[in-house]
Formats: sequence, C-alpha cells, structure tokens
Amino acid sequence: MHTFLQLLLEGILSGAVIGLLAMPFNIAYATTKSFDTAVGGYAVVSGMAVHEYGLGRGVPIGLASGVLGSLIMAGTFLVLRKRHQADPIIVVLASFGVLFALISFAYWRYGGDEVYKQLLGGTVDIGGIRLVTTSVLGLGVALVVLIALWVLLRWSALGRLMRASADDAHHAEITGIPVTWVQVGAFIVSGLLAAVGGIFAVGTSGIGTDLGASLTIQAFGAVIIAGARGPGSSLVSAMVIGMVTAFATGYSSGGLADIVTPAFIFIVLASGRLDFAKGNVRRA
Amino acid sequence: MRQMDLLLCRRVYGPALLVVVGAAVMMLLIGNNASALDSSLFIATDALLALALGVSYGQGGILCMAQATFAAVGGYCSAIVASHAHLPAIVGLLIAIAAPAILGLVVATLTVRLSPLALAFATLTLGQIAQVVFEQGGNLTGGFVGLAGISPTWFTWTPFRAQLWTWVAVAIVVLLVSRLKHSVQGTAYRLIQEDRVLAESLGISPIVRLSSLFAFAGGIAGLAGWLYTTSRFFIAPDSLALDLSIDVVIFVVVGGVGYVLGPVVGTAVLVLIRDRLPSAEVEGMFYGGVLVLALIFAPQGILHELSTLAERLRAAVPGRQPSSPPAGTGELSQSRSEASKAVPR
Repeated sequence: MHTFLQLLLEGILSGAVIGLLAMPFNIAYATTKSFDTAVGGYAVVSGMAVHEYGLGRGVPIGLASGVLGSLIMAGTFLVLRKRHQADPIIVVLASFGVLFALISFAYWRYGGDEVYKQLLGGTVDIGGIRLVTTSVLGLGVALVVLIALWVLLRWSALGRLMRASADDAHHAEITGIPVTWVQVGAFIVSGLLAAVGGIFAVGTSGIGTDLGASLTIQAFGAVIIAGARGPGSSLVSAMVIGMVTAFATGYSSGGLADIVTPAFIFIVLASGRLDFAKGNVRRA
Repeated sequence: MRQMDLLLCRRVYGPALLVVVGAAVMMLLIGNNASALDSSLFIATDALLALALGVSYGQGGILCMAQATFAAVGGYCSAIVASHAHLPAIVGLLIAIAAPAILGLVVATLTVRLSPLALAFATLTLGQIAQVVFEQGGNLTGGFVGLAGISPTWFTWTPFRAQLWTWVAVAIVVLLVSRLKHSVQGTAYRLIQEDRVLAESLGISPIVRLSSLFAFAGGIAGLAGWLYTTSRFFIAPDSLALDLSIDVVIFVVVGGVGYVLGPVVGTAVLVLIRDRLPSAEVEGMFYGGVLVLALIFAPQGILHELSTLAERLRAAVPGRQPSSPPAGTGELSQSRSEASKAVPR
C-alpha cells in the first residue's frame, strides 16, 4: 500500500510538470483555434539555460529564452494568418519547424547531454511518503497557474477577447478587438509557462535535447486526451499520464514503462471518444 | 480523344521517366565517388519514404508521422529473416513490404476516422512505441545495438548497385503513385477529401479506401526499410527513428504535397543542402527554418512555384496560350461535380 501511494503521489507530481507544458496548448487554442507544438522547445532552451548559468542568472535567461522562442512562433503565426488564413494543420506543421529549430539551437549552444540541476534541496514527508521538494513546488505552481488561467479565460474581459479572436478573427478586428496583440500575448504567456515547466523539468527528472519532442508529445497527448476543454482538464489528464508512467515504472521491469505512456495515449486516441477536433479541423 | 490519351500518358509516365533520366545523369556524374554515392543512396531511400507520405497525405489527406517507423518494421523484418531464419533475400523483401502494409492497415482501421491532427498525433505515438519495442526486443531485434552483419543481397552487393536499384525502386513507385492518382481510385480519394458525406452517399467507404491507401504507403515505406538494411548491412533502433519521420514531412511539404514528384524533389534539394551544412548540430535549425519559410512563401511546394513560373513565362510569349500542367504535376483538388461524375456508383 505504501509503495502504491508513493507511486501515486510521484506520478501526480511529475504529471504536474507535464501539465505546465500542457496548459500553454490551451492558451494558444483558446486564442487561435490552433496548437503550438513548439512548447517542448521552449522548455528545453529554458531548462538547459538554468543548468548552464545557475539559478541566479539561469532563471531569467531561461524565461527570456522561452519567451523569445514563443515570439518567433507568434511572428510565424501572424504571417501565416495574413497569407493563408492560418489553417490549423499548417500552423501545427510550422510549430514543428520552430520546435526543431529551438532544439537544434539548444544542442548547438548547450550540448546534447541530458542535464539535471537541483533547484531546492531536501524532501517533504507526508505520512511516511517522501517527496522531492522541487516536485511539490512544481505542483503548487501548476495549481496557481491553473487558477490564474481559469479566471483569465472564464471571467476576465481579456478572456472574452481571446475567445472572440479565436472564433472569428476578421469580425473581431472589425469590432475593434486588437486581435494581433491578443494572439501575440497568448503566445508570450504560452512561452513563459513552458519555460517555467522546463525549469521544473531540469530540477526534477532532468532535461536534454533528446527530450524536446517527447515533452511535446506528452503535453499534447494530455491536451488531446482531455478534449482540449481547458487548462484544468489538461492538468488532470497530465497527472493521469504521470500516474500511469509512475505505476509502469514501479511495477514493471525493463522498458515496459517507456511503452506504457505512448500506448496509453494511442489507445485513448484510437478509441475516438475524445477526439477534440472532430468537425472542427476536419478537412471535409 | 487522341490528344486526351497523350496528355494522360504524359501525366502517368512522365514523372517516372523524369526520375529515370535524372537518376541516370546523376549516376554518370558521380561515378564511383564514395561520398557522392552515399548521398545518392540517402536521397533515394528518403525519397521512397517521402513518396509513401506523399501517397497518404497528398492523395488521402492522412498526415502520417510514422513513415520511418513503417520502414524500420520492414528493415527489422528483413534483418530477422536474414540473420535468424537464414531465408533468401527475396523472402525478406516480401515480408519487409507485407509486414508494414498489414501494420498500416490495422493502424488505419483504428485511426482514419479521427480528425487530421489527432490522427497525426496517434501515428507519432506509434513511432515512440515501435522504438521501445526495437530497443527491448532482446536477441530478436538486437536491443539497443541492433542487428549487424546482415548479408548483402544481389541488388545491394556494391554501393553503386545499391544506389542503382534504389533509384529503380523510386522510379517504379513514382509510376505506381502516378497511375493511382490518375485512376478512378485516385478520383475517389479526391472526392473523400473534398466531401466525405457525398463520397459515402455514392457508395465509397472512406474507411476502407483510406485504410488501403495507408497500407499501400506502409508497403512503400517497408521497401525503403529493406533497401536501407540490405545496403548498409545493419539496422538499429536509431537508424530509422522518429526524427526521420518528421524530416520526411518537411521533404514532402517543401517539394509539394499535391505533386507526384514533389516528395522526390523536396528530398533531393534538402538532403543536398544538408550535406553542405557546417555541422550536424545546426541541422535542426536548417530544417526548422526551411519548413517555416516553405509554409509561408511556398505552401504548395517548390514544384508548384516552378509550375506557376513556367505558366507565366508561357503566357508572356506573344501568340501562345498557357498549356496544361507539365508532367509530374497535377491538381490536388478537382471540382466536386467533376469528381463525382468520374466515380462509379
């Protein structure tokens, strides 16, 4: 029972870090009706900067790197929107290009090794279950971000502007909504959140250029499984993925744990019940 | 009528002929230069993967991000047949084509009803699953090290011969793809893309048609995997990995997804430029930048831009009417009424 609870809580905490990368997908989707798969790239450049420069200089450099990366994506999105009405598939493909470029930049600048950097020392003891302090802090940050996003998207005037920009950018512009600035702002917030996720990733499980695409896949998987309904669903979904991975790691041998997460995502997707975009981005 | 037949003939056989001529000229130029032979072999193998994606995405609208995985399945099957079962190479070839085709059929049956983004993502996770299976396959797959020391076949005895037969395979696949595109089946695929409901009302089953197309693409990728394995005499989990699947998407987008020759042109251009980059570290920046720029400035690919340019030049010549699109090109979309007329009920 003790092992079960230990794995359960560890899974929730590691899922919270993935949740920090999943929530940016929701922000971009709420504003642009498309997805920015470059979040794994923002996380990698940010996390590796923290490892390279230390906590004092590394955190601001890491956050700035993530924001800079998201600005490149924002610029790409705006040009695509102007020239081709930003077909969601085209935007996703372009964001893969930005993801590739950012990972390659991190490889060129910081090297190809997987790195780890201790953010906070020590562990937290809850009824005999020991948890790494950094992971617990990550969960706290994820919950704070979730509440902030929930208020922003659901109750604030800015949230209404974001939804209007996504639903019909042309008409929103006619009614005086600064669609361009709203969308750029959404990408910046996405980049910032993903950079925070990258910092927690380097402080918990470690980060490297090989993990960029994998982080995107896990985070995007959480969003899709949750049906792109909102940040809360994505966070819960990310925690479920974290738990599945933790149980697979704890109760199986060999590489089974590595296969369980993608297999779980594939099975959920193939079931077709949670296909968020049905009737939305389908070509026909 | 005769003119129509000639035009159709030109559209069906023209692209394959262009590949034969282009490959012949290239082989004459590079001779026995080892590094050039290696580049040529890379281009041809990757072009086969790109053609597989060109079939599924260009004709069926299915963005499959697991072409390298299908190739790896084919490659591993042929390697296992050669090194464990000691069966003839031709048996390995047949299994290398059949296994990914069957896998593709199963995956497609499960996923073709999904939206394009969810489907693309599902195939991406398939690549991750396959990678772990290859790594954890023990003696059967050789684990992380892979399977080495695979005996060369008659086709791939020397680098020149491997290159020759890989380009022959490219030409044959281009011909098959071209014939498919201009057949009744091809028209049905276009109709499914244009209006799935109308297609179903005409008795066309999108799931059956798209699944068979997916399986066909899987078979092409399996052929590429067989050629890769038998020409390099080894295969490992990293040989045909997830990165290559994404590279292939870039090749197809840059070359032109709606054109039969688009994937081959995109692969050739990008691999040739990549080989001249100062280091492998900047490869991702190059590919990423190229993909973004292509989507912005040439979303229909290089061939579309060249085709448009040729049309403009023709129109600029006094007294000449713009002619039909050149060989190797063809519109991705056809008008709904035209397509529905051509489909048998």
